[in-house]
Amino acid sequence: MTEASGPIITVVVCASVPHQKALEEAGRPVPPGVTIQALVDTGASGTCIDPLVLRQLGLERVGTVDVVTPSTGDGTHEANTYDIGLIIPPAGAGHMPHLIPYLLVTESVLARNGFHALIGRDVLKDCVLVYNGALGFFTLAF
Amino acid sequence: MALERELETYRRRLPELTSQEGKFALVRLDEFDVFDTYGDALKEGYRRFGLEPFMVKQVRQFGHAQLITRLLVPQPV
Repeated sequence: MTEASGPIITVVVCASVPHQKALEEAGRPVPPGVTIQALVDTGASGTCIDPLVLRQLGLERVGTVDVVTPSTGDGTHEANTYDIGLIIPPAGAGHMPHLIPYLLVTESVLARNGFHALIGRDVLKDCVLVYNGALGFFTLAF
Repeated sequence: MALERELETYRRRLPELTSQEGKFALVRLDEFDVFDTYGDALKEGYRRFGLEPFMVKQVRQFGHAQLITRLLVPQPV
């Protein structure tokens, strides 16, 4: 981890398990998961995914949500939400992946930052995050 | 854009959902149901409608919004 990059992890974004089941029942192919870099962000109440990833998976929005950011002032802006599955691969041999079969995420343009997702507190609520800035590492346990 | 009618249905029904705050609405055209969890609504959506578009949206009456402490570019909805 560097000060500039922050706590970035590799994750796999895929169609949610209920969506995969519906695709299979309709005789349609299930799109392969997309491996991306994601920033662990305790300042995000929910997980956000770049639209490039959502398009690559052929997903359609399932709704909208009001979002507050530093640029919205006292107001909000409305963003699309999508249904995804998320896999955090194991850090090494003997470790288990963290599988989230369905997750409601918000569409946000992030690619220009060098990552394609923010892992928000909706995922972190089931994890232990240790951020050791002094030594330049972090651990995410689940 | 997809789900325009579902969003209209949600907004029309919202005033009668004061006791359902935080639950999840499943909407397809004018069909409307509320479930305790996102997973329940999502699974029922795929069971009922398969790959047809449907909407799952958390019921929020009081201006509760997702907070992201990072500058984001709003995308058209």
